[in-house]
Amino acid sequence: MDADFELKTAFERSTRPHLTTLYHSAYRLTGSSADAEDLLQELLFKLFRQFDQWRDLDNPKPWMQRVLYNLHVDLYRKRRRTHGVNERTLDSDAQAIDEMANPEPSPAVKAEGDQQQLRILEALQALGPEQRALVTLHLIEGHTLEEVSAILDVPLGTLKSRLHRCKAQLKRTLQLEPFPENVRLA
Amino acid sequence: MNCIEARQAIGHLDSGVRPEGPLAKHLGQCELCRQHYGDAMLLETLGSLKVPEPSPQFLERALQRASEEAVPSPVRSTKWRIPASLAASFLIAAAAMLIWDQMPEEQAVEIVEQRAPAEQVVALEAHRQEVRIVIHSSDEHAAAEVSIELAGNLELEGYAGQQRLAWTTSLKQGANLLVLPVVLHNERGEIRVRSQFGQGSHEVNVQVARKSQAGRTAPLVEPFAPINA
Ligand SMILES: [Zn+2]
Repeated sequence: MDADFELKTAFERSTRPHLTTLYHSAYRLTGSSADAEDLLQELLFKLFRQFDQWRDLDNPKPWMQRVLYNLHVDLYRKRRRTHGVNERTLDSDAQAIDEMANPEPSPAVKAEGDQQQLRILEALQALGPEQRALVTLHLIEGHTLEEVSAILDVPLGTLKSRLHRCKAQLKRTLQLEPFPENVRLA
Repeated sequence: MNCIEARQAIGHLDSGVRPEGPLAKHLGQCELCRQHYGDAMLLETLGSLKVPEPSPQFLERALQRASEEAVPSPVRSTKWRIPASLAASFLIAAAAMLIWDQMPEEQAVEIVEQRAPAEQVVALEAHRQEVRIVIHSSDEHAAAEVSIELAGNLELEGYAGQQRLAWTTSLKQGANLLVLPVVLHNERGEIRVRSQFGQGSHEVNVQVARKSQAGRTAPLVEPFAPINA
């Protein structure tokens, strides 16, 4: 009993400082609060079962991130196989946006902001799970490609070409080209 | 405008404002600066994605569940290949099988094919015996939740006094075997095994009775054919 209690306490002490950051990553990966919660819960189950393997690490965060990204890829595949493409995630986008702490902007500004949020979430949604992990880690969370390579266990060269394609796709879907195609070619 | 000036101008563009004048002209001619412009806008756009804060209650509950429901070593080492399973369209054939320690030729097996909660009776020859639950999963699942509830005077060896155990596990495709070392202190008891994944859940109730109460069970039937959706 005492041993159980100690284990539990040690586990909580090691994970608690990282929970918010991990939740944020989970949200960026899944695009909805409900899915982010599911992913984080799965992560904690796994981390607890593997506690022996990481509890003595000086900095366990990369370990946690790695487990998170791997779980994300697994769960994404499973969900896709079982319910088609992310139905649930898309359904809950609007609700997730409502839940965001928003310091009372005017209705018009708020609606515009929501539109933009939805566009970003949809653009991310259109990427595959590995691509989405790469974009989240590198472009949003600011990890270097070397760090991403270690977290995802994907060779640097593969990441670079993947990143190139991701950026091109996102720029297209988010319409971030400086001019419409025909103008540029003129 | 040269490339250096163009990059500076891009850095000063207000968000959402399209390039105009000399910058627009330069971008129209220079592929590299266009690339740079697109990257800068992309980073700015992605950076504007708002992320909600997690609810503190959720975090507490999640931590709690992680350490309570993930079953640590003793029983798992025996062979909890728990398959839990299933997504919305779970199709499972679960079989509760009693292994008679000394008399393999008298194994009693009953199969429950279930889409709804099912009941299964097994007879225990001895005070302590293994009850095996086989769950067929049509798919592989990384994170299935399995819980066991015990009623009557039943215990799982190594878990004295615990009426409920739950943990998360992976299910492989096909047959997954869950071996429960059951200790029956009384004449009868009940084990409810529940597995859950995503929105699907699946349950089997196993009635356990001492041999004298239950009588001989059905002959050995095998293999357990998975049911397909
Ligand atoms: Zn240039």
